[in-house]
Amino acid sequence: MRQAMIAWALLVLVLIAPAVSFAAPPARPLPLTAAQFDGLRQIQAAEEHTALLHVRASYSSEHEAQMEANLLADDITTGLTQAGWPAALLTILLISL
Amino acid sequence: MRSRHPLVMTVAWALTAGLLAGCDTPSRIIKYPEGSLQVRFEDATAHSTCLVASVAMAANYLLGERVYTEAGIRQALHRAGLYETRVGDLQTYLANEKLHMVVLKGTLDGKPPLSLRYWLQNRGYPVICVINRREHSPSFNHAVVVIGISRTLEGPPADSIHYLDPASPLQLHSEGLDAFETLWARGENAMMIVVAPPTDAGSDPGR
Repeated sequence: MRQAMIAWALLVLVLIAPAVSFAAPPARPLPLTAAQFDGLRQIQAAEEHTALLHVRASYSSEHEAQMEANLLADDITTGLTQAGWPAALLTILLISL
Repeated sequence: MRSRHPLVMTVAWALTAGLLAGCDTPSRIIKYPEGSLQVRFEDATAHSTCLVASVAMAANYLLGERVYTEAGIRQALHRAGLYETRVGDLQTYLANEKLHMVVLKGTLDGKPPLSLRYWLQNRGYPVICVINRREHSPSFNHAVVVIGISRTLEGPPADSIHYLDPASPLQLHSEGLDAFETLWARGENAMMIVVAPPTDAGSDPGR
């Protein structure tokens, strides 16, 4: 009876376990020892890795094109806003007086 | 001066206060996938600062607090005459900050220390990867921060890789491993990990 209950409990646990499994990483990055750090620097010195120092990363030109158009629109609206909101505030205050 | 209409006065001051408060929209709250590193998101405020923002995210996670911002790093790079899009210059910057950026041509699996999975799941470091959504176009290289890998057991086994994109309003993205490998290969499998040089006696960080 007891063994049957344990078996049922295990079955329930398995059935309700999430479908996505994962390997839980450490809660904090594990520090490197001096030997590990030195070893890493030696490995990094290989040409295939040092070549990556020249890699550049920005964003796609489509986004850049959109950004440029948006920046121009932003500049125009910002100018209107900077000029307009003090006037709006002043008007509201004058009306309220 | 006294208003003859208290209600109007109240509304006017309320409107004034609201306008002065501005539109400081809080950043989107990320729901981190289970088992992923809870890396604090940093925005790339310009099209050229994805690498800077990625480095800020990785460094802050290592230090356990928000020491670096994209804007702060950007200013420091400009003062030092360094390029904000170049991997080597970010490594130089971090060296000046007494941190080290490991730069490797990585693999998804395989032997450490070249394995992305090793750094992520065994050592708990977020990994900055250079991906490219276009073929044969290095000018479209883009830096993202990988924070987790998960496997779905329902249906055919499939791994998903989760990363923070500093230039994306969605912030968190998930991609099938095969698709990510394709994107990463176009970025020369460039992989960067921000680490703290050991403080053991006799260690030589090489600076």
